[in-house]
Amino acid sequence: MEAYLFSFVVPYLAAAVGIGALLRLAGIEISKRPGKLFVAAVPLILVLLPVKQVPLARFVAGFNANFSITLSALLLYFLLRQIQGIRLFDRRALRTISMSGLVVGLCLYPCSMNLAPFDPYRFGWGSVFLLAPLFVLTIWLILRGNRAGFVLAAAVAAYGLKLLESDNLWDYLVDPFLVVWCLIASMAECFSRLRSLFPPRAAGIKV
Amino acid sequence: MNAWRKSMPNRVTISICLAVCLIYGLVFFRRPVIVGGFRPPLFAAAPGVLSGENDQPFFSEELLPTDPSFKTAHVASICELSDGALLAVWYAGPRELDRDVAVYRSVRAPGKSAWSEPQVLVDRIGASRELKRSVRKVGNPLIWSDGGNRVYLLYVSAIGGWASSSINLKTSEDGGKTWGPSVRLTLSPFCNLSELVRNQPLALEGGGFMVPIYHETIGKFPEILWLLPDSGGRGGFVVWKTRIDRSRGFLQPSVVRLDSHSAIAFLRNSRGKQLGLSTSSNAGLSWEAPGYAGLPNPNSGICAIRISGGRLLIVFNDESRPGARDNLRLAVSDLQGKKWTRIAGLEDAAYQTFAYPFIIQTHDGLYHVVYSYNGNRIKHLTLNEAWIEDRIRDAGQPGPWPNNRE
Repeated sequence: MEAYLFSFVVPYLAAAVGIGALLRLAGIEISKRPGKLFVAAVPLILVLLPVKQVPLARFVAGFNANFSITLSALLLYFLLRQIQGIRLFDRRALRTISMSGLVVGLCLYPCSMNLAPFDPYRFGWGSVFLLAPLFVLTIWLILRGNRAGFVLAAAVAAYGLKLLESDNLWDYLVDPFLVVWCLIASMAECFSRLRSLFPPRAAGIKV
Repeated sequence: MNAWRKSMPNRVTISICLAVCLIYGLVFFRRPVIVGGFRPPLFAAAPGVLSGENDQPFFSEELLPTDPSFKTAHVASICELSDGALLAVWYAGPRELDRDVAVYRSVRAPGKSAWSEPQVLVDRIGASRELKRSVRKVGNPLIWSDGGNRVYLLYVSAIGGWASSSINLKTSEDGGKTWGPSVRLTLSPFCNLSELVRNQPLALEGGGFMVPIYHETIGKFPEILWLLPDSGGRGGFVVWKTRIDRSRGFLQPSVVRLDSHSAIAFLRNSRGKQLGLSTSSNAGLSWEAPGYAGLPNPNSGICAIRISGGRLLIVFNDESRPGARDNLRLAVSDLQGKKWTRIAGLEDAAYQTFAYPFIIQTHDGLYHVVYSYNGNRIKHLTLNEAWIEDRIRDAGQPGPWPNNRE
C-alpha cells in the first residue's frame, strides 16, 4: 500500500515542476499564493486523471514503477526553488548527486544489460557489500556538511520502509530518468568549468 | 585546544549521524540483510515416486480443450496438485503478443481422463487491475506446486514486445482453485525490463525455489532467480539472481538437479545451431562456461528431466535450421548430458510447428509432456518408465523417426 501511494509522488512532483516552469516561461508569477495553489493543485488533478482505467500516475508506473528517492528529492528541490525560493541543496550537493548518479548509472545499466561480466544489481537485495559502503559514505558526506548525505539517508530509510515496489536498494538510489538528468547536469558543469578556464576576451576594447 | 574543538563535529551533526545509524538499524530490522556472500540453499531431494517396474509400456496423447478459434496457443506448463490432479496452463489468443491473449488453465481430476474446459487465469485487464497499472500483454505462464496445496504461477506482462517483459507472481493456497493478486518482481534496474520465464524451477531445502529465467534486451542471456521464503515471517520472498552465461546468445535454461548441490542446465541457442550446456557444482551460485550438449537446436525451447538409472531425458526439436520446429523428439543421456541417444519421435510433419515442450514426473511415476501443437493447440502426452525403457532398447536404429512411438 505504501509503495502504491508513493508511486504518485514523482509523477506529481514532475508535473508540478513542469507546470511551474511553463508558467514562469509565460511570465506568470508563481511565488504568490494563487500561483502556488495552482502549481500544487493542478498536478494533483493530472496524476489522478484516469488513463486506460488507471490513474495517470499508475499508467506511468506501467513503464517505470520505481522512481528513485534521489529523483524525488531533486524534483522537490526544483519545486521548492520555483515556488518558495528555498534551496534544499547547495551547488556542492547537486554536483555530488549528479556525478555519483552518473557513475552509478553508467556502471549499473550496462552491467545489467550484459555488457560486462559482473552484475552489481544483485547486491541491492540486502547485501552488506552495498549497505556497508553506503553507510560509510552517508556518514562521511554528513560530517563534511554535504547535503547529498541526507538524500542517501532518505533513500535507505525508504528502502527500510519499502516505499517502492522494488526490493532492491539500487532502485531507491538511482533510476534511468535520474541518470539522464545527472548526465545533463554533469555536462553543464563540465562546460561551465571549461568556460571559467578559458574566459572569453572582451571584444573591441583595447587596453 | 580550540582548533581541535573547532574541528570536532557539532552536536547537530552528531545527532544527525545517530539518526543515520538508526535508519540503517531500521533496514537491518525490517529487511533481510545478507551478511557475507550469498549462500544459496541446497537443492531439495526429488519427491519419491511409486515404482513401476512391472508396468507395461504406456503411452497416450490428447489435445487439451483449447478454443479452436484462437490462432495461438503456446508456452504450456503443467504441475501435479496435492490430490493427484493435473493442472496445465498456457497462453492463447488471436496471435502472439496480441492484447487479447490470456493465460488459461485446465484441470484433469485424479482418475479422470477428461480435462476441464479452459478458464482464464489471468488476462491483460485482470493483470492491470491486480498490478494497479496499465498492462498491454501477458504471456509465458509457468506453474508449479510446492507439493502441498500451494501453487505458484509466474507469468510475464509486457508493455511492448517480449523484450519489454517483467515477471509477475501469483500464488494459490488451495490447489489452484482461488488465486491471490499478482505481485510484480523487480529484477532489472532499467525500468524492470526484459526478464522472462519459461522452464520449471527446482525446489530448495527450506521451502524456496530456484527458477531459471532469461533476459532479452540488448544481450540475450540465461539467469537463475532464487525465490527464498522471507525468514522474518513477513510473507513473500527474498530474491537473489545470478547469470548462467553472458554473451553467447543462450536463453531459456532447463535446469536438472543432479544432487543436492549440482545441477546441469540445457540452453536454447539463439545464435548457433547446437544446444548449449552448462553445469554448476555450488547449488547454482556459479556456472561453468557453456559448452554444447551434442544435440541440434534451431533456436527453440527445450525441456529436460532426470529419469531413473542416472539418466536424463530431453524433449527437443531435432533440427539445426534456425526456426525449424517441424519435429519433436525424445533423447536419453547419462548425467553428463553430452552423449544422447534418440529414442522416439513424438511429432514429424513438414510445415507444422511443435514447440516449447515441458515435462514433469508425477508421484505415480508417469511422465507428462505438454507442448504447443501446430501453434494453436496444446498437446498432452503421458508415458511411463517402461515405455521409455522399451524405446531405449529399440534405439540405435537410424532416424528419421516418424511415428516412432507406434
